Amino acid sequence: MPMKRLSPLVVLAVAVAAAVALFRNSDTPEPAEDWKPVQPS
Amino acid sequence: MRIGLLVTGDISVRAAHALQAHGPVDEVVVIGPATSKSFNVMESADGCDFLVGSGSAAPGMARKHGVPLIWDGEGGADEIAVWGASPVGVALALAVREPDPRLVAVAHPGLAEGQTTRTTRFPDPVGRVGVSDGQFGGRPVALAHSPNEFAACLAIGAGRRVAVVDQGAFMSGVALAAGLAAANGGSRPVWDAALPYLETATDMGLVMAESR
Repeated sequence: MPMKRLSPLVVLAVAVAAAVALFRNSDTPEPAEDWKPVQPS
Repeated sequence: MRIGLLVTGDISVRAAHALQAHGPVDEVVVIGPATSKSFNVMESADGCDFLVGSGSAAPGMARKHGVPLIWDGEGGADEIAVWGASPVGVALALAVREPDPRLVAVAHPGLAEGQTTRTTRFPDPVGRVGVSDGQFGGRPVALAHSPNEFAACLAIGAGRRVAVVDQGAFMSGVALAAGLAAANGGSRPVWDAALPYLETATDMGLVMAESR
């Protein structure tokens, strides 16, 4: 029985979702922020 | 000034300790029945200028005693002198003082772990966490569950980021206690008196910082 091929759009959507998930979970270092104590004003 | 502590949990006890060391307060008493090693216990709130309590039970208790309440919950009423005296209120007060606030956010270990829609970077040791868009007192605020014991309040304005970071339970207690500074005889949220509220909160030990 021949296998049904996935639509290119479905393949693209899966690839984009995987890339977004990978980006969200990445542990990319961020530049340190320079916090200084300040009084309310 | 005499403050009555409603027995409503750990946050109000922490607030009572902050108030006991606060200049304008002469005495903090616990409204019983209760036992306390730190405060005198009274059967009634007679002679109290304000009550302090947290959570949903506090307004009903204040109504019963007929003394205005400093509260960490949401919404004004006759028996509530000040509301929003919580880390969320601190964040909203920070935002009120910024000329063009673009984001108000709170991360706290006591907030529920819900569905998040994006991430926001808080100062360390909270760091970048997922937030969900919420509202408090009709104002937008992004809410996050802190991954550790620390809490952070953040307001991002046009020219700077302003934050308060501290141990979550300590912050909640001070945020409630500092609500006293917003009392004016009516019923209003802490951010309506943002400057005296934040000044009192920093006097009680919270540290405010900015990043440009």
